[in-house]
Amino acid sequence: MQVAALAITMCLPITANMIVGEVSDKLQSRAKKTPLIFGAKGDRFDLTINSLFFRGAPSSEISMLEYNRVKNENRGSVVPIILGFTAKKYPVVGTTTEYFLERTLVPKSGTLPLVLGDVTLGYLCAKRLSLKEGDHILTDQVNLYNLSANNPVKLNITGILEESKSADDETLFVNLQTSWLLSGIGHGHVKIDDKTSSESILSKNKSSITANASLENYIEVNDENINAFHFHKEQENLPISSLLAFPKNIKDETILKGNYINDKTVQSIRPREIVSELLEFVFKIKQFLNTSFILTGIAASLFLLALILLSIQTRKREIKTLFLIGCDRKTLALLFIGELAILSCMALLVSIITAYALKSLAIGLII
Amino acid sequence: MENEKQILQIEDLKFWYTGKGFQLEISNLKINKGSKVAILGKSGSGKTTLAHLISGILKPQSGLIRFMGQNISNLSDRERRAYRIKNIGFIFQEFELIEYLSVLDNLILPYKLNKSLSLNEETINRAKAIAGRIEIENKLHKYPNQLSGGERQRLATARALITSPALVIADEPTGNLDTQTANKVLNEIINQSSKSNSTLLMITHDPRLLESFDQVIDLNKLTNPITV
Repeated sequence: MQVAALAITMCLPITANMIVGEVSDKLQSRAKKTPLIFGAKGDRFDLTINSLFFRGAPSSEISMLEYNRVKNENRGSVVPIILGFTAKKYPVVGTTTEYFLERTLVPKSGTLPLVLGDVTLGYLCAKRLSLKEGDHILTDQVNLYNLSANNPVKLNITGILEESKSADDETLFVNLQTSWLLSGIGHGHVKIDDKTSSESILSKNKSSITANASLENYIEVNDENINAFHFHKEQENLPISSLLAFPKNIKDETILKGNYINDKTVQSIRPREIVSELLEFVFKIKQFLNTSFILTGIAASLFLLALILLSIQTRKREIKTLFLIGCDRKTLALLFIGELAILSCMALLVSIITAYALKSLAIGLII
Repeated sequence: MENEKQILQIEDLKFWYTGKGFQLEISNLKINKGSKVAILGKSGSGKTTLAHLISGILKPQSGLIRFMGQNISNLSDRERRAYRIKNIGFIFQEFELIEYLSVLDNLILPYKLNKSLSLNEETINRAKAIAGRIEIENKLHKYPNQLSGGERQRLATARALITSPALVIADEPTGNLDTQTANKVLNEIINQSSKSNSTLLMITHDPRLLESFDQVIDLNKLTNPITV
């Protein structure tokens, strides 16, 4: 009980420091490797965290038009990403092959997601879900209560990435087309022509035939049906969540960012600045927590002191016995200090183990 | 010649606790080697104080305490502790076994606590032999709470005698027992201390047990110890 009480007291500050340390390291390291992010005007923290760690989709989107705009400035590599989809609760991120080049991600087996319907799994996803190249994975329903939302799609696993010890390990990567397929902008179904059953036809005129909802969409892409997939939007109007830009040098970075300072729809942000701002806030909270932990520590020390005094009181007879048998005061004191040291060490060990466990849980929830 | 027979001599002893209004005075007391002595007295008469003076835990304000010819009343704290470890074994009222130590560890506790006593293979073997003699040799790795009342009492007595002390002080070991059990416990203590050639000094307030002793010191008659 004493060990548990001490362990809990010690565990909280240890956990808080571990979490803040690791979150800070992860945020900074990822931010440093991503010089610029472009996205729709709005919450810059949301855009940064979502674009770096794929925790969800930003509230507003930009389009491929913006991607082309930034790319055509020719100041470095520009990578579009599409967020907002999951499979077995892991984020499914749509991107291009440049993403893997910039993040130095290489497949451990198989290939990158080059074809519609292909998915390449991050190292931990594959490990935790026990999936390998050649297997399939079904995406999660976007909104269970929205009947018009697109159905889950069965993706073909074409590769597994090497471990990168980053958010990429817990991500499933698809190409942009697959993401649009997941969002319902693209789909595939049997060809509609004069031979199509009248039950599946909504309207028909000389130039076009419109099918009704009874026409079944393909839920997986394979060699037989791949050509039946198409998109109902112009390429430049297709949505993307954000753009990661990797300018050639500082000058290009500054110019690229500067060009979008007054843009009405797109914001350009330096993730490292946003992360520093965020961490400043986190560190302020940590300072407050540290102060409260000091007070908790003092309270725990007083509690411990009371415990020692109580222990001495209740063990008076034992102490007397040991003394009469010949134990000197120094040895008696050492016995008590030793007991206290063992208790403290056990509590410290328990608190460190608990802190590590809590940290792993918390880190997974935070970023 | 007479002095050689005596293990303990007390002369003109005065001891008081400052501010407590208690004073113990013994003008003359002699205890022979190997004898069985009872210290009798009412509660608060100074029985335990006398035992603590004899064992060197307390130091008298005046007077002499000679243990085997050596005056212990003017020894330093460290010297008195060394004297106590070497010469005195204690048996307590409720045995005071250390519950979180095994039976063997309880038995050799004086060796574990005192660097001046060397704990070696021979000591362990002797402890095992003693355990055999008191019929707890199969329980050496058990804990005191797994022993019967009788076994606990024999273990406590054996612990007091493990260092072969010249004097065993038993502080009311029969205090809470009925006459039959008290006699049994007393016989065991006398038996074990006789085998170790130790002098037994037992504090008691139970007059029913006095028959078993060679000498009775009645603290109610401080200056005139009676002998039966």
